[in-house]
Parts: sequence; structure tokens; C-alpha cells
Amino acid sequence: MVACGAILASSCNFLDEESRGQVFDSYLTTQNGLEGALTGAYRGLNSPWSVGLCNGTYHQLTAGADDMYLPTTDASGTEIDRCGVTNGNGSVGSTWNGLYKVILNANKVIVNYEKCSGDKETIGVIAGEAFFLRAYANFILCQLWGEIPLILSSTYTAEEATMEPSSPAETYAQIESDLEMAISLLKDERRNGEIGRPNKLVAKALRAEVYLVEAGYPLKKEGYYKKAADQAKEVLDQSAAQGLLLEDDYANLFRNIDKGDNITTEDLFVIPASVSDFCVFYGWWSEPGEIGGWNILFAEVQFYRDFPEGRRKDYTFYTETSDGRSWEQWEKKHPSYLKLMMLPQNGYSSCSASIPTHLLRLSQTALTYAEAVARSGSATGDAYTWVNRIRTRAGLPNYSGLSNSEFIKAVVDERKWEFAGENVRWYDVLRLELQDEVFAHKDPAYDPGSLHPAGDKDYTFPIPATETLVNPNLK
Amino acid sequence: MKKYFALRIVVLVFSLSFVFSLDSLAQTMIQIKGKVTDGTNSPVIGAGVIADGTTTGSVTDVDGSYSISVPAGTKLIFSCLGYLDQIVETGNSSSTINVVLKEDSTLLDEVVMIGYGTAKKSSLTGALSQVSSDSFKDQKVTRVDQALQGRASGVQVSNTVGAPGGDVRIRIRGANSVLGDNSPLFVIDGFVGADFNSINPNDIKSMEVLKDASSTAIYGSRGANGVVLITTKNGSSAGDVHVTYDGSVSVSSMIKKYDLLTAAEYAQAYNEHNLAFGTAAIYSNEEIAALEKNGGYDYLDAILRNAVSHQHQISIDGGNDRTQYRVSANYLNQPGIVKESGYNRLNVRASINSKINDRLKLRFNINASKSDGRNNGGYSSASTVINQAIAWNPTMGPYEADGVTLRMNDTNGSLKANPLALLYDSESLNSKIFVTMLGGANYEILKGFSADFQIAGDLAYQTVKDWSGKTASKGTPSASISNSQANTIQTTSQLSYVRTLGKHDISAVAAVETQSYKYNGQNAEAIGLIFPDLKYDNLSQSSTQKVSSNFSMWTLLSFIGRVNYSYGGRYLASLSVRHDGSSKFAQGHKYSTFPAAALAWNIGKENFMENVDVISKLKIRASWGLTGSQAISPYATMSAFNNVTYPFTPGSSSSGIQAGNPSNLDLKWETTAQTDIGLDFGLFDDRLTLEADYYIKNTRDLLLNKSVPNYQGGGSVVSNIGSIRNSGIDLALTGKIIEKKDISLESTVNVSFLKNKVLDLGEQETVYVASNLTGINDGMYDFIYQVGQPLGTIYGLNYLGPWKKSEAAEAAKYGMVPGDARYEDLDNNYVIDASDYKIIGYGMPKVTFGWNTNFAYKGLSVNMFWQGTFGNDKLNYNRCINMMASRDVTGARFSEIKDRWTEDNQDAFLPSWSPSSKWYPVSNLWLENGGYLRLKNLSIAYNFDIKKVGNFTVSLNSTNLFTITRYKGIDPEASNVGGGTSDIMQGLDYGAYPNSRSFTLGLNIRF
Repeated sequence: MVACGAILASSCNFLDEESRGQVFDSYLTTQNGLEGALTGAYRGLNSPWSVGLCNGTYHQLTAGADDMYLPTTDASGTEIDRCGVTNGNGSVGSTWNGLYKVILNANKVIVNYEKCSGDKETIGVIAGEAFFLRAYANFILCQLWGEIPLILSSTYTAEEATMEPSSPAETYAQIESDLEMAISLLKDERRNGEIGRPNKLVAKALRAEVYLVEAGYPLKKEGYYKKAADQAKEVLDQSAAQGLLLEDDYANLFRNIDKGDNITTEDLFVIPASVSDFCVFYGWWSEPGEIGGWNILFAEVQFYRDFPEGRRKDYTFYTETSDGRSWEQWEKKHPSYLKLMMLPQNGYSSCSASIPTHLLRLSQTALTYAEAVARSGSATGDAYTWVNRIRTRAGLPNYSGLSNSEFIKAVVDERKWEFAGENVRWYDVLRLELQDEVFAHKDPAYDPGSLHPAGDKDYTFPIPATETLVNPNLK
Repeated sequence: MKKYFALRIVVLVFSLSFVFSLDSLAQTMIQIKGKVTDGTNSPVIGAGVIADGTTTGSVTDVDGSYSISVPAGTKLIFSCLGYLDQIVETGNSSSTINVVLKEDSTLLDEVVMIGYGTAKKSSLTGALSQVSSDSFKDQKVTRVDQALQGRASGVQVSNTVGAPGGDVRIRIRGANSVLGDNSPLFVIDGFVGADFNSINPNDIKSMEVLKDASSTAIYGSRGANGVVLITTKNGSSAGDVHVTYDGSVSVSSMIKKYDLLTAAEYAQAYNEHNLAFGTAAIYSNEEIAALEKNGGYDYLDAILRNAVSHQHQISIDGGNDRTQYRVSANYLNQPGIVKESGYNRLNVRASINSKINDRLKLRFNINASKSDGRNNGGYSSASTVINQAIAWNPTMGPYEADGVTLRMNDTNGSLKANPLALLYDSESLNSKIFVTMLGGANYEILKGFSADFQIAGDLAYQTVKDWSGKTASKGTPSASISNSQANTIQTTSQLSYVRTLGKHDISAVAAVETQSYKYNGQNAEAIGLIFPDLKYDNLSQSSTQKVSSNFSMWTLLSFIGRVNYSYGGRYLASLSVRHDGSSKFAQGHKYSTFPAAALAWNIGKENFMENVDVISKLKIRASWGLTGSQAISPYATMSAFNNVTYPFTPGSSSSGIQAGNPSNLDLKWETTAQTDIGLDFGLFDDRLTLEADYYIKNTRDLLLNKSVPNYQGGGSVVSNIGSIRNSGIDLALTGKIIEKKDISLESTVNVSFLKNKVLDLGEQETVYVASNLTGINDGMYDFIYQVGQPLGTIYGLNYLGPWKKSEAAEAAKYGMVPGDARYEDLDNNYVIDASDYKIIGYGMPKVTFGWNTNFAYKGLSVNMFWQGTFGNDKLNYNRCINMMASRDVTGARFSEIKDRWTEDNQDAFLPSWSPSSKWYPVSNLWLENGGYLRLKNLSIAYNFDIKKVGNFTVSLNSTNLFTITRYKGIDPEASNVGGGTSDIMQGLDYGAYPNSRSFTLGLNIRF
């Protein structure tokens, strides 16, 4: 036995840990490791039923605007719909958590790419995508929450566990610098030709959106409408050469057939989906109970009434079930968004879909350009052209000869109709401070009033309690 | 008494020669003769019969008969080793005096297992409870935890999942660890860390529960949660062969019915809810009248059943004084009360012990078991059969218009799958094969000095198959299959020394032990099955497939030593130490030492106690020691990525990695220091005994999952911060109330008082924990652990009842109206949010109670076992989700909803349905007293012999016959978060599989 013991004691590696089967940070200095971590960053955009922007909860978060209604039976939803979000609201976590997963994994790439071995050119593009993703995530977070923790490190640090939030000014400075890096590192083509990845042009289109928001509330930066207009113009001018075109028929934008790719010619930034990595707001989430849906998300009634008639309206809303009952006779008495459904004519629906999430369309860049150029001077002929192309497709007459302020109002309204139910309106309401106007216009018989304290201009959400309880410095 | 037979023959011979050497004195002599027997009417051979105050004596012969000639009126003293002396005064004439001698239990010393050795029960220094197979043999238990339940003080067993083969929570003296598993360490025939599911209780000879540190420190880094030593049965050395058959049949059913709204009431309530929220009524008066007349569909009735299970065991044992063997086979078939659920087990065990020569002994045993669980898993999600059978709208049946096809979606009811589809269109199979092989050799080098070597291999193969068909999956049929292989090899090399030198008894042991564990797993998953009926057997026929594999390992190297010393059986001392090294820690933190010491004083054996006849036993014990826990998983000192996928083009899937939990290189052992003071006390020849222990366990360097905020990636980082204290009193009071030849009554009460308290959490005051039950609390925290509070502390809003009419003005400040739910606004800011959460309850029981009574009359025996917990709260999420009429269950289901606040019912507890009211899940709106007292077992057994055939026992036994509780749910014992895992979350009820009530008929034949 003594001999036995001696053998064991002398074999000093008996207590060594064999770690095969796991991937650690050490792999980040290889190109495959870096590529893997980048994929992990994208994954933060969509972990079905868990975190990211492809869960219905992200749509709920922007329902404070006048385009979306959340029934009163859901208390968390009602808080958002009526602009009275508390820090214990259960619907906000999935978006917050997902976007921070994007940032943390992008940081893994950004911190390590320069010392990574492999094909330098590809590594550069990988880093460019990471900078783009970090900018995108911070952009959404900052618009929704205002002051947020700005995370730049690639591993957990105790200091960041007790950090204070950054101001929007600081966050936007970081977003701008990240986009600058993304634009310099990305190529003109999407890497591997894959639609889910941004190229240089997509990064520029995002920068135009960022400039537009910085020009409005709360930063109201001087000269930023001009910057937004110039940046958007550059994208529009190069778009056709890269095969980016407005779809001719509005009906093609949200075909939403669960077979086929559902990618459109005007998709700039998109989250593709598959049977295993699906998207969970098309289908039952957005459908009325009358056809098996969950009664979670509807269109607001006054918004629906105001919506200009035409092909676009027909393909935006779902108002009548096949048995002939119109939305007035449905349990929740609100129209649904056809855009967010799996097309009912397929006769098949589900709670998950392999339909992609369209995050940025060329139409938005066009309207951003039109608004920004008018606000930084006056509407150009180009601006009219782009707006009228979108109106023609919607089945509406062309605009011409409007005063500058009329034109600006017309474009803001056009954005509201064109992107109804696409999470754009809430950000417009915030940057243009339209809340009072928007609530005043609702029909109280259908859509209840605001819970927001009167006179308070700050409509950003409180940082979730899951964060402030662990780090009270965030309050 | 067999073991004293040889001794008594010696005494007989010796005494006879002594007697014959005496001269008889000539007085008035009378002749006394008679027979000396014991309690079982067997002759006592070699008992001395002495006339008091003289040297005259006699000795009983092989029939127990004696004859003696003494002076009239003499006091005769009857004495024998192992029995209490008895004094009888003779008359004045010759007569026959028959005497029944009582066994002296203080001398009849039981030998108990103490880990790496044995000890006499009377010379124990630590706190140890023994559970022998006799105490549960008539109750037809099918699993080890049922045998332990209520039979040892300080041990708490709760069946948190009532499904056959389901999870169980076993705790010895509370919970020391926040992070780790707080289940005790199981040691089966010396194999450390065995899975108790692998053994059939009929193969158990005895179980010893080691509780204090001086008993458990010998298990070092794994001893902190207490240790259960299991010794299996072996053949006898009597030279004969026995065949035993043991079988039972049992019928189980739901313990209690849910009080649900009828279909008509449901429709009515649905309308009322809609109207309250400003939307339209769904059901017309005619429809409601029709439902009233015709009734609806009873989903619960459709999924539940009376389940009939059976168990059979056959064993052969025998041997002689050189070699003993025993082989047994056991089959258990146990369907669950939910249809399509159940558990099967086949178990074979063989053992052989052989004495090769005077010095060398060999032993070998093998245990193989295969178990198959069907749909008996954790039941912790919303999509469980029971939850959906409650949630589905009872006004409609489960089928489409054709009457055969199961409906995929509910209307005006649940958002989840059809409960019948969950039964028939989905499957979860879990099959396990355990093989444990153990071989050992013992060689006596010198008298009392021996070497022992044992090697054991434990193999565990598991296959899990899951399938969800088209309807159950709501359109995306999927299946998966995963296999895993784990093996553990243990070697133990041991030197033992046992010696008695005059009044000094010394025993010492030194050992080296190694364990190494390796795990491999493979998983294949398919989504979008093209032929859903092929289930998991042809995964490639699907639109997407995923494969994964994983590996993990750990090793443990230990050096063990112990010395026990006794002086005259009165002064006892024990010293032990274990030095453990683990692969889980980084260099520099791998090793730790766990010492322990104990002292005991057997006051009852002191000379001055000899005349205190009333007190038959009195011992005080004190011990202190350190034990550890490696409550972390392998690789915790490194930050590993998680595997993820992302589609860069529609329909594709690319692999990637996403940051996992942060790492901590400085992790070290979690250490528990335990002090125990105990008292063993016996009165009236141990007719009444009390074992009492007071203990304090302080766990330091507590391994804690420090929450990582989601902005840093979420999850947690493991650190050694903080400490926890468990203190308590264990009492075991046993009364042998009647102890006669044909009739006996014995009753044991076990009571354990436990106080658990977090002492320190490093820099933090509070750590928040979310149960994350989908559809309920949306990630909001429901538990905390906080300095000064116990684990399992429930954290939520304080519900104050509905706003009253008289408080309308105050309610308006919250945007509410009378009838709305009123919560305590801690910061008085007229907003109810996370800053208004506070401690509202405690999930961990403060007192656990077990009462076991055995009554025997001739061959008839009756056992009654009560169990209870007191001082614990339960968060009844079932009531919440089935009455809030929102989220996943859109209609109210429980009848209790009829008692909500309305204009006509303003004294209600439940708030009204109102758009301005919010029903918070984590609030004491749903918190209830979880205490209960339950008649866990009542059994009657009759034992009789049939000549030339064998010995028969017939038994009838019932479990969970009735329960006394104020808890509104089905089963206060069931919990969603249970099992071997964490103790942070306790007392959640969310459609847990309830325990069933069962009646069992059993038969045991031995011939």
C-alpha cells in the first residue's frame, strides 16, 4: 500500500485538469476563434425565446408610439403602451440582455483582432463587422434607455460591476468612432456574399440614422442634419450599383411565407432566420386570438383610421378573419399587423418562423435623407424623387411644391406609414419630442392615455431592476 | 445470542469444575430446580445460579435447566453474560423456579459502520443514526430515500416531484452551500459518491447516517453535507441456503382534486373578465346555458389515472464459515398517475466473501441496474401535462370537428400545447444503466494489524430521447437523442490496527484513496421532422440537424488517518484527518486538510452509577471538525465559451461561440466547521431512550455565484465570499412502551430544529435569484440571500388586500380604483416597482418532524409513520397563473376566482379584475403557509410459518393516506425546484407532479 501511495503521489499530473471539450479565450488569437466570437456577437441579436431583437418583446418596447397597441390585459405591455414603464417591467429584459451580449462578444473581437494570426484582410473585415455590431447595439440601447453603462472591455472586470452609466453624449461619441472603424475596415461586398453581414454601405446607412438621431432630442447637435443628409445621399447614390433597389410592389416587402428566403432588394441590415434559429414575433405573437394568435400586439385604432388608403394600407393591416368578422368584432377590438403575421392565406401559422427580421431598409435611408436635407436647408429635387417613389409604390399621389415645413411634416408622416409596426416610429417620436401630440390624437375609446408624469420630457426607460439591484450606481 | 454460545460453553465447563470443588454446608437444605430462558423462550445455557452471600452455585445446562441445593430462604442470583442479573428468593421448601432473563442491551453491543472501519455503538464519539433493514422491511419501499425518511433524526427527505423515479431532496442538518449540491454523500460498501438510485432497498442490510464533523471529516472534502453509509446484505455462515421471494402490487391515485370552475362558470368568468377590461364578451347566454346543461370537457380526468404498479424480488443466500454468497434480482414496474408516465427498474446484485486462509479474506460484489423513466422528468415548465390540463379551455374538447385529430391550438384558453398532445404526441425517455463492481482483499499481517485494498469501478450509461410531434410542438416537430458515459474508478489502500491492552482499546486506520471521473456525452437533435412518427429513430429525415459532444473529468487524491481510543469503555476519544487534493482547483489551491476530534464520557459505566438502576445509559459527547465541499463544477477556474449558431443567410446555420460565465482562478475549498454536543440517555433498561444533539455548522469561504449584471453578460462568477451558519437541535426519543413476549409497542419521535443564516456575503449585502419560470415572473427576482437571513428567502411585494371603497382617494394617487390590488409602497412615491420589494417569506422549513410507531402482536405488526414540516412558506404560482387570466393562461381556472373583489364582495382577499390593477406573481398574494403533517405510511403485516414450506409475511400498506395542512395547493411536499440541486430557491409550486396516494399489498416468502 505504501508503494501504491508513493506511486500516486509521485505522479504529479494525477490532479491536472484536462479541459478538452471547452473553448477558452486563448482561441481568440486564432482566426477561427475570432470568427466564432463574431458569430457569438450576432447571436445576441437573436436567441429565440430568450434575448435579442427577434422576440416579440422588442416590438412591445416601441409600442409607446402611436402605431402599436398592447392590450390592457397584459400589465407589462400596458406600462409600455402608456409610457409608464417601471424598473421591474418584465418585457424589457430580453432586448437589454441581448444587445449587451452583442457588445460583449464584439468586444472579444475588437480587443483581440490586432494580435490575431491568420489572413489579415479577412481579420480586418471580421473586426469591421464587430465595430458595426457594437455601434448598432449601443445605438438602440441609448435611444431606449438614455444613460447606459458603456462597456468596452472583453472580459469581466470588477470595476465595471460598480460603474456609473455614461451620458448619451459619451455613448454617441463611441458609436461614431465605432462606425468610423467599421466603415474603414468593411469592404464593398458583404463577406462571403452573406446577406446577414453588413458591408461598407450598410455601415454608412447606419451612420446616417445615427446622425439624424443626434440632431434631435436630447443632444440636438448642430450641423448633424446636414451630416445625416450627406451620409444618406452617399448611400442612395451608390445603392443601385450594389444592386440595392426599392421593391416595386409594397406587397413584396413582407411576403412572410415560411418557405423561401423573404429577403428583399432593399434590405440593408437584416437578421436572417432558419428552422433552428427562428424569429418569434411573426405568427401567433402578432395575430388575433380569433385565428389562434396570442392577442399580444395590435395596431392603434386612430392610427389605422388615419392611414392613407391604398395598396400599402392593404398590405400593412389584417382587419378581417376568413369567416367575415372584422376587427371591430374581435375580442381585442383592434386591427392586426399583416406585416408581422405569417401570411394567413397560407392557412398555416406557428409561434416561430424562419422569416428574417428587417432592421434597416433602403426606404428608411431615403426618407432619412429627405427629412435631413429639408431640415438642414431645403428639400432638393432628389428628396422629392425618393419620397414620391415610396408614395407611388404605396398607391398615393406624388408630392410637389410643398413649403419646407410642410415637406418635413409630410416626410415624418411618410415614415410613420411606411414603417408602421417596424419599431421606427417610437424613435421618431423620441427625437422629435412628439409624445404629447401623439397621445392627444389617440382615440381614448380604444387606446388609453399616458401614464407618464406631466411635463417630464424624458421618455427613456429606467434601467432594469435586474441591473440596478446588482449595481446600485446605475440608478 | 448465537455469538455468545461458545463463550457460554466455556463458562459452563469452568463453572462446573468450580462448583464441584466446593464443600456443601450442612444447614436446612432445600432443593431448587428450574429452567432459565430468554425473552424468546430459548434456553439460556451456562447461566450462573449462586446463592447470595455464599459460594454455593450451579450452572444451567444445554436445556437451560439447573438444580441447586441451598438453605431455605436464600436469595438466588441468576446471571449470565449478555443478560441482566435477576434475584429470586426461595421459599422454605424445595420447589421449581423458572427464570426469564432479560437481555442487557448495554452489553449487547451493536457494531456500526463508521467509514473506513467499524465501532461498537457504545463507544461512539460522534453523532450517528443507524437505520436497519428491519425497520422498513414491511413497508415495501422501492427507493433508498423512502427507507431513510423519518427514521433518522436530522435527516430531511422530501419528495419534491411525485412522479415515479422522480427527484427527491435529502438534507442532513440543513444546507451549507449556496452553490453546490447539498445532498449527502452516499457510500455504498466503501464506494464513495455512489448514486443511491442504483441500489434496491431490499439489498440493504443497514444504513448509517453520519452527521457530526468527527464522523464525516474522514470523508474530507465531500463530508460537509453528512454521509450515508450503506452496507449491503450478504449470505449467512450457518451452512444453509435460503430462497426469499418478496413482491408487492400497489394502486396509486391523485392525492387531492383541483377545485376548478365548471365549463359554464369558465365561460361566465371569461365574459366578466373581458367586460372588466373593456373588451367584448365571448360567450352568449345561450352558449353558457348549453354548457350548464351539457357540461364541458374534463381535461384533468383525461390525463390522470389510477396507476397499478408491482415489484418482485427473488434472492438466494447461503454459505458456511469460510464462504458466504448472496444473489438477488429485483424488478419494479411503476406507472405514474399521469398517463404515459412511469418508471421501470431491473436490478441484479451478487456478492461473495471468502476466507482463503486464517489471514487472507477476499470480497467481490457487483451491482447492475437498468432503469427506464418515461415522462417522469422535472416538470418545471409551463408546458407540462398537468399545467395544460388545467389551463385548456373546458368549454371545448381536445379534438377537431372530426373527433379524432387533436387540436393544435386552444381558443380563449391556454397559449400552450394541447395536454393530450403532450401525452400522446410527445415523449421523454430516460434510460440509465449502472454497473458497480467492487473487489477487495484483507490481509492480517499481525494480530490486530491488517492491510486492506479495494478497487471499485462505477459505470453509468445514460440515454435520453425526446420527441415532440407536430401537434405537441405546435407545428415544428423535433426530436433529440443524447447518450452519455461516465465512469469513476476508486482505489482505497488501507492499514488498520485494533488492539486491547488491559483497559485501553485502540483502533487506528491510515489510508490512501484515489478517485477519477470521466464523462463523455453526445447529442443529436433534429428540427422539422419530415416523418414525425419516426420520432428520434431517423433524425436525418428533417430540415435541420444539430450535433454536439462534450467531455469533462475530475480527479481526487486523498490521504486519510484516524485513531480511536477508549479507556475502560468510559473515556472515549477520536482523532481523524483527511488531506484532499482536487483537479478542479488551480495550482496552489488544490489541497486542503480536514481534521476532526471528538471526546465522549460514558457516565453510565462509571462505578458511582452502578447503583442508579433507573438510568441504564448516560453518555455525553462533544466533537469538532472541518469538512469541505468542492461545490463547483470542473473548469470553473477557466472561462469557457458557450456554443451557439447564427444564420447568415436564410435557412443556414453557422457555429460560433458566445462568452460564458466569467472565471476565477483563486477559487478554493469551501470549508464547514462543525461543533456538536450530544447526549445519549436511557431509562428503565433503555425502555426509554433519548438521543439529543446540538450543533453549529459554520461554512466559510462560501462558494458563491456572484450575480453578474446583464450588461456584463449576465450569469454569475463563482467566488469564495461569505459564510453561512446552520445551527440546530436533533432529538430522537424512543419508547419501548410494551415489551412482552407476544406483544410489543415501540414509538420513535424525531424532531429537528434548524436555523439557517447567511452571515456574510463579502462586499454584498444581498444576492438576487430569479427562478425564471416562463410565463410567470419574466426574469424578475423571486428569491434573495441576504446577510442575517436564511437561504430560500422569498422576496416580493407586500400585498395589502384590495383597495377599499373608503380609500378611493389614496388609490387614485396610484392611478387605481377600489378593488384594485394594493401593495405596500415602501418608498411612498406612488409607484409600485422594484424598490417596493421586500422579504415576504421563507421557503426553508424551521422544524421537521417524523414519528414512527411499531406495534406487534405475535405475527401481526402495524407500522404508522407521520411526517411534517413547520415554519415554511410556499409561493403558489399555480394559483397566480390560473387566476390572473393573462399571459399564458387567458381564462381563469380556479374556483377561488369567484371570491375576488366585486361590488358585492368587498371583503375579498383577491383583487378585482380591472385594467388599472396589477397581479404581481412575486407577492404575498400567492404566498401560503407550506407547513403540513402527513400520515406518510400506515402498514399492517402478518407473519406466519407453514410447516415444511417456509416463513410468510403478508402486508398491506398505504402511503400519503391523509395530510393536515392549510396549503391550498394539491401537495405541500411537492415543489418545482427540488432535488439534489440548490437550496436558494425553495417552496415554488408551479404544476409540480404531485405525490400520489397509494395502497400496496405485499408478500414475502422465505424458505
